[in-house]
Amino acid sequence: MAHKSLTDYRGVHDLGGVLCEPFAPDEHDYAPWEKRVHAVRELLATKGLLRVDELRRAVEGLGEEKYRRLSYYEQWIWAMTQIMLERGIVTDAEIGARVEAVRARLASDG
Amino acid sequence: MHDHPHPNQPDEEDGPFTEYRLLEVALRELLIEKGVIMHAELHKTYQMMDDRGPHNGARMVAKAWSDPAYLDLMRRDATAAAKSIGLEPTWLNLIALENTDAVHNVVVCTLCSCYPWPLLGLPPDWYKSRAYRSDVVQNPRKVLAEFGTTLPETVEVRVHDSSADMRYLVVPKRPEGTEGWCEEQLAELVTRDSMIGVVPALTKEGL
Repeated sequence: MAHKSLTDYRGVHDLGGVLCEPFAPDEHDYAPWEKRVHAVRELLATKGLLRVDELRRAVEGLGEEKYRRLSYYEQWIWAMTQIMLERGIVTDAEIGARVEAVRARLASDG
Repeated sequence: MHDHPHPNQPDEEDGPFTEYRLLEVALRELLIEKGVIMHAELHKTYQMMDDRGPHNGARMVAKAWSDPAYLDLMRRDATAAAKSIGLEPTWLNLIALENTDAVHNVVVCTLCSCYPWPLLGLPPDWYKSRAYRSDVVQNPRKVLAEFGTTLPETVEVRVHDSSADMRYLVVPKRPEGTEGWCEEQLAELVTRDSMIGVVPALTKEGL
């Protein structure tokens, strides 16, 4: 019988009791950009524009490969953007154009 | 200065601009331009985040160790106990978990990363790691051993799974030999990890 993968029977995020990796208690100092993501999320939450369960639902929608590969705040910024798109606060076109503008700006700043 | 083990994710000052970092700048700029959030609010939030940290939770624990009336309030309504000493999390449903000679409590969020961050600051990577979330409910003693914590078999280990609506703060056992200490001294014994429940509070000698 083929071995079942994690997602065959539970969500990719639903890890309780699923022994998967050796545990090591490591940590890093949060980078400024990670703190900015956290602050924007919190501000959106206090304004009623982003609930914590909504954010988690979006994170869980990343799919197994991305869920495993992306860092925590990479998951968050992606999920926050999805929710802002869903709520019509920003559009795909605006996000796409602004990402390119930021990229160009950084390139010209050297 | 770093006193933690080698990280999976480097302690870099922002590092290279990845696509996700570009997205962070793009989304933040658009939200500000559209008036959804304001610069001033964002800076206030950064300040609030800087004010959070284990020193807040440690104040609660030290007071609970010192003041039976406060311990009683923490047992009944830990959110009110936080609020009563001017701490921020009025919105948080908080439960205090008391470690005793018979019971040791440890906290996890198996689904993601829920954590009493107004009282402890941002969680360490390991708390959010797949391995911790998976293993601590299955074999808590093995995970505790990774932190150097070994408990007698007679001690019951209880693992508490946090949620978006409910957060936990462990009240570690008061170390021996600290009779007569004031709350400020006691608070220095109360580390972040002891309030997650993976280690005991520092001893007098460990300070």
